[in-house]
Amino acid sequence: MMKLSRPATLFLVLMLYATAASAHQGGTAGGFFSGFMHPVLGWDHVVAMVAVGLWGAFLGSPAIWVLPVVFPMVMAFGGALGVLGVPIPSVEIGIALSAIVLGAMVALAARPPIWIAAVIVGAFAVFHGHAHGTELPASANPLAFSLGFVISTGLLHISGIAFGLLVRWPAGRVAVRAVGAGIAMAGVGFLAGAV
Amino acid sequence: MTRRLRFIIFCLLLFSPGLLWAHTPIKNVASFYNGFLHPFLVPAHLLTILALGFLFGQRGTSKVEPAILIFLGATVSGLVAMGYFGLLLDVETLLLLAAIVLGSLVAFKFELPLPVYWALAALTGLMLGLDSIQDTYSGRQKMAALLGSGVGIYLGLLYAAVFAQRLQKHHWQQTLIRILGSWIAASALLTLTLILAPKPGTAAQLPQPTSRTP
Repeated sequence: MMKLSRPATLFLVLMLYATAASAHQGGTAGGFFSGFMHPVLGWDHVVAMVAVGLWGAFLGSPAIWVLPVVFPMVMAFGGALGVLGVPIPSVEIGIALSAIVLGAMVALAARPPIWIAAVIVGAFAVFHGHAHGTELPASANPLAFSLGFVISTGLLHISGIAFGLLVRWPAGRVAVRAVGAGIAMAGVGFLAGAV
Repeated sequence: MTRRLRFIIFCLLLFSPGLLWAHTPIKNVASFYNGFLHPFLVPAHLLTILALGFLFGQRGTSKVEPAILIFLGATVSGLVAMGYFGLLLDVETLLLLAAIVLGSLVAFKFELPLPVYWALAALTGLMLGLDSIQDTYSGRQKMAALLGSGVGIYLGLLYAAVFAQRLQKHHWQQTLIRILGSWIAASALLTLTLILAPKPGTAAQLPQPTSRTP
């Protein structure tokens, strides 16, 4: 029987670990994954989504469910406008402003009536949705992409809500407001980049 | 080969086994199971079933019992109309529209009059049945596939309804169901737009063929 050196033996064993390499993403899983990663990979989107969750938690019931429910539905409407090619002026500026305004609301502990909060969040959701919608048609599977993108957005809201629940404690309240201030400052950076 | 090297190789080999499938997931699977899996593998069906189930669960399954039975009857009617009388309608767009409406109702937790639940159950069940086409089968296999689809659709609805009903005890649980409803509505709206929007490369945008003379 042929004797193999140690490195050669290890090399042969490690070859068993080779897996298939996919040149392209495709199908349902690929569409879902690319949709899921789409909001996560843009910092301007991430901070605004987290701010929505933070503000919802800060305002308490019913805002804690109204804002995360309103946002994806209005965002889908904005996405539909993007898909249909309906132009919305200054989308990037709108997205940057969303981070500034929503972050400032959290930082200043603003407590407007629920309908005003919903209108503010809904108005900015149109910009976010439009930005995503213009990139939707390239996806392999539209429904999988849409599901991934909506779920990812919702999970960012939920992470904001989870952190926002710290407002029950005085130190947590300070921490949440500090994060809001950070988001608003990041928004100023995005605005400088967009303008 | 030293004992240590043998041990390392043994440990590495422990990590190398791949997945072992007891059954092929779809291909060659029995016709009943193929039909059963159909509503769970077609996203428009799944979204609609989940949304209707959540709506029933929010209201309380005991209050909407007639609607659940109407849903079963409508689904069977749709399956029979499509499978035996050859009624082929493209209702995917309507199913997505239903998912938008049902998801929105869940998100805003509207309490509707009971007859509205019956109507929603009838329409949704009929559309799901009509859209559960099983082209590849005939005879008994087709019957088994249609039966599987019916069972899958009905069980899917019951599970979603019971899940939503169980999650009505605490405020955060009700919030979760509302958020899931909004996700369903938003996803369905985007998909419907993508289906209806003019696609790049359609006849209007393709380059016109130039006429060549030999």
